[in-house]
Amino acid sequence: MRKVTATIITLALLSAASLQAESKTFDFDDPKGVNSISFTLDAPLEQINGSGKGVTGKVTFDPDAPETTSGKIVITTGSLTVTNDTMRDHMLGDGWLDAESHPEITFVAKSMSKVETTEKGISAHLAGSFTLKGVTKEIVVPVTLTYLPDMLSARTNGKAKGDLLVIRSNFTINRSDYGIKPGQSTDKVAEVIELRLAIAGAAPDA
Amino acid sequence: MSIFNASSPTGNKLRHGLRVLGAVLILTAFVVWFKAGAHTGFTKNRVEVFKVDPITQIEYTDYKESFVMGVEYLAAASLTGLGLIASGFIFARKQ
Repeated sequence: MRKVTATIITLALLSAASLQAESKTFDFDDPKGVNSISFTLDAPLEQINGSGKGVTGKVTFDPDAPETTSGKIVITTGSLTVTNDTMRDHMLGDGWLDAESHPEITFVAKSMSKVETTEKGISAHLAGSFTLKGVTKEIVVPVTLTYLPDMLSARTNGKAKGDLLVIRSNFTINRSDYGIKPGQSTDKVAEVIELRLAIAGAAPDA
Repeated sequence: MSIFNASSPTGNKLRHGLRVLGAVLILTAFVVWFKAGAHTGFTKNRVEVFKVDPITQIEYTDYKESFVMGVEYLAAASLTGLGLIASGFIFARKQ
């Protein structure tokens, strides 16, 4: 009888441990260059489109408890690019983003709400701290998480096994909130910056 | 006899030459701009190439080095052309 009880307790502990192990950390460093953030500033005289590929960071995600998602995504300011070199130099210069003094744009995820499972994945509202040009603001952004179990192998041509997590989010910020030339040149550089994030993280099997 | 004298053959040629040159410059600029894709924004040093990752279905932007003539070149050529045409008329008044 004691052996049976001990076996049951052991199995219970093992299953509890395996449930806890469902939470995985996904690394968003992407050597393939797919991860990017795109931006649009649609001013009356000019529309500026660009993107940045210097995405890194780690996110902890549990498909059984997506509301516990947390982590940090970093974008290298210097990786932001537009289609005109002169405009890019201006954008990264000290008058605008000041990439030299503020080399990183970060988002630290703190909590999730309104979590729903949809056809596209898990949609939710993600609250966190967004830092741009040294200014940090608490924002809430809509996100869609797509969990792709065992798909890392397909992405690495069989070199690594594991899961993928795709995070998508479209949101807007006001440049004046982050001290980017507030109220200046609004006819050519829009006040509202539309951001589109689409990134995939990998969690290789241990 | 000055070349600015409209009645002189050289002055006539110069006035006509400036006007024709101005018109040709404006026309050429429009033709080149139109053939280059009639891009209404500023000049591009690189163009966006939109791609989709087959595994994650992420749509992302790559860039290809390429020169796309923008409206500032068109404006500069047009203003220069108009300046040349105007010069032809100014010379005519100095006779």
